[in-house]
Amino acid sequence: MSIPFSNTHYRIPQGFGNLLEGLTREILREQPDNIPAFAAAYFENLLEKREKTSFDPAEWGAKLEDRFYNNHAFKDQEQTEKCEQEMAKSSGREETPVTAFEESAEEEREKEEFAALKIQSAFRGHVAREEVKKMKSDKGDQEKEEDNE
Amino acid sequence: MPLPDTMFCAQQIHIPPELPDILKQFTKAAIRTQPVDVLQWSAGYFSALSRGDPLPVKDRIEMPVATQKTDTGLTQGLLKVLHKQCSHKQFVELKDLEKKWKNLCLPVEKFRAILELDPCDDKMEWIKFLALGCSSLGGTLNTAMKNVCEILTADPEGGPARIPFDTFSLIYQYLASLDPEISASETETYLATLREKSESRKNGMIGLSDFYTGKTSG
Repeated sequence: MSIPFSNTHYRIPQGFGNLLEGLTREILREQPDNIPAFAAAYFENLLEKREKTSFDPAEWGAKLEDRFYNNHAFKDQEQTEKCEQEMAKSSGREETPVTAFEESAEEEREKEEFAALKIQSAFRGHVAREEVKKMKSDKGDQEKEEDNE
Repeated sequence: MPLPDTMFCAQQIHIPPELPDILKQFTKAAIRTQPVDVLQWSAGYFSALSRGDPLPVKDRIEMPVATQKTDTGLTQGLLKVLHKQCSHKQFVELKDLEKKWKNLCLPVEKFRAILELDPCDDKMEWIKFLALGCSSLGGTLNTAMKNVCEILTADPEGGPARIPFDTFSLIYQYLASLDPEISASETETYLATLREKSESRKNGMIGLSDFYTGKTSG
């Protein structure tokens, strides 16, 4: 993969990473005995395909890379995806159980939060009361000691 | 080794021991050569590799020097690559040469244009094609000869770029004969002076400094 902020003199050719990846995958899959011959056949095949369908894997890879590094391309995509989701929500029936589940989950969470608050306050009150009791008993002890003297 | 039918983890994939090196050399060659059409070039690279031919790889990276006026995609580095691939034979078959030309992502029109300078059937002396290629790099006959010297020399890059005088005079005569503005007698006298120089000092070799004095010389 070419990195735009690397030394520009030694840039990897556009789309090369994609070709390399494809070649490696096919070699690992086929396990040929003569790798150079296999690679030559592989690229000849790709060239033929390109002439027939005008699909260039290198160009395609270059485009992918470009989109990866120029983030605004993704922003557009996200927006359309969101729109699609909203459309699906408003129209699709399949979505409803999911959203219902989400809502119930949210309610549950609210309940839990409330319960947690209650438990925490109760426990704090308990601790405070314990302390007060201790203080009282300490005072009582001291008084007793004083009486003994 | 055939792969097992069921894959459970990446360790089951058998990586051929020679594969990493092949991929590494391939990548280095690509970075160095900077082909315009990676796919076409890769096909050429591996077909040369599988046949044991010299690879279509530049010795070192070449900065793009083309201007709009002379941009044909052909550079000295690319001619040198072709020279490496073809020079082991005296004659090259034009079909084979055209294939190598295409694999370097050069336009076929340019190839045809070069051949029109000296039409021949299906075989051509490599040295002649090289000379025509150098002259089509642009500039005068002298700059063409400079390119020829830099490609043919055995000296290290940036050195005096010496070549045998016989080769030099052969190419010079050939190129001069194609140029109607240069008369045969002119060529003879020019080569005679150069011959004296080279024979007296450099045991039959001629270098850049003997005939090429920068851009001003014509």
